[in-house]
Amino acid sequence: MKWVLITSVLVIIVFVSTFFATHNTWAATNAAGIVCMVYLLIFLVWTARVQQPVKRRWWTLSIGIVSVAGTTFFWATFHDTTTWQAETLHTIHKVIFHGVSMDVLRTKGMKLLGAYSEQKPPRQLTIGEVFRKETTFANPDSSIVDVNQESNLRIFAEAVSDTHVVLVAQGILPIDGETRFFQNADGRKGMAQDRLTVTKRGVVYEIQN
Amino acid sequence: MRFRIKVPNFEADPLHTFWVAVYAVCFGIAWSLFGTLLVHLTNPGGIYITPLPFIMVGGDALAQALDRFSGKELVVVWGGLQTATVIQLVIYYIVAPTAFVWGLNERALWRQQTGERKFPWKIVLSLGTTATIIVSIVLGSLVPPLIHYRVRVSVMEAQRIQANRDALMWDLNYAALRAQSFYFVDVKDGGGGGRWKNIQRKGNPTLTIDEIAPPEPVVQNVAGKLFPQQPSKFRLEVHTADSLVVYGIAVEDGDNADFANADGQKGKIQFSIGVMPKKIKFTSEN
Repeated sequence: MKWVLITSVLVIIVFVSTFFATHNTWAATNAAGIVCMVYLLIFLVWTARVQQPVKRRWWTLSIGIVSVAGTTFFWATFHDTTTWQAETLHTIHKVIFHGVSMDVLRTKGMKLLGAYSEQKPPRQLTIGEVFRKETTFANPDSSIVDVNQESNLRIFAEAVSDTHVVLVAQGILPIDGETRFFQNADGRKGMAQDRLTVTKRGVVYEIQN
Repeated sequence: MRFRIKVPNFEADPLHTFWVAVYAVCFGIAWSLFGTLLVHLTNPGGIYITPLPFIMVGGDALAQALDRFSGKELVVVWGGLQTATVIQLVIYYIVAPTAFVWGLNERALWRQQTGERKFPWKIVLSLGTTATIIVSIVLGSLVPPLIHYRVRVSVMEAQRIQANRDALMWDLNYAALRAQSFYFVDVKDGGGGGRWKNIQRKGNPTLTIDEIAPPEPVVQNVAGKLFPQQPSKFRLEVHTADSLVVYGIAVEDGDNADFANADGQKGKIQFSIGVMPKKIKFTSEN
């Protein structure tokens, strides 16, 4: 009885402290689960030593060991699977974001490059001037070129000069990128972001984060 | 008959296996009703109580992933799930096994006693309240892990193929972007000067796949950790000065085993993207 109480309190302490340290229920459950497993193994050994018929002792030990091993295996694979599924869902989200953003950026980039190249030589307007002429900024005080609710994207003009135009696309919804410390165009940190650079030599697209 | 229960023994022994099973069923029903009522009162529509705490936690992790997918900011605070989990851990893996084994030992001793005996309330309570929990732990450790493992392998394989399809579509879009970009760039700057065929340049007068195909699987940069993207093959057909088709052939098999792929293989997944200077058309071919 004493050991049941002590272990129960220990399990609660480990669960609560891990949860508040990590804010992760899985981590807390795993840490408390290890305490439970250690207790169960000690308890099984102790049970086998208590005087009882040999047949029953072996039954208890066998069922106990199989249960602990099976539960540990199930627990570990379930943890891996749910973690993998959660990460997969996030990766799918990122791939969708990069696909949509490339499509939107490409449309804008080709429109700009097309308008620039369709000027008869000698070209009167630079690539930056063509961009300014053809673009209506969503907000005149900012660099936001477009806020597309349908595709959940914000497009920013990161740089506009005579030689190049740089556009970046970021999700309206928060989508974590690869690097947590990446500085995004809208001031947030660590979100997914793509960049398109248009020069007279063509369009270069890259996944930034 | 061989399997008939001897009624006098059965009535005289309140710890007969039959009665232990009856106690277990009664307490099991009471447990489930109590658990359902508790969840209904404290957290209606929220957590699901399952016989194993880690399944409950895993289910919640997936619910959080879906919330994250829909753009919700996740703030994990202590709630019903955490309380239920820690209670389940203590009851399932500490209290119940101990009480059950204690009950079994005491039952054996009680049944050996002779003479006047009081009704064994403590033993009945310890076995009755914990038997269903122990049965669920033992059964839960035998078959479900194997089923779960098989399902997990299948899901991961299916997801790997789907991820490669998605990545190939993405790479084709990227190739289309590079082809369109090439079209609008002057010949002296390394482009086609408004054409993909009969380009006024030294060397090959037609755009080649090497000039537009992704040098490496691009999506691998963002998804490679989870889905090691297989290298796809790309083929280009330039039809006219301002229209072309890029084919992407994956390493996995497609729906139709007899499908003739653009690179001479048979039955592989294939997509194509028709490209014009300001338009694209995507087609899933196999």
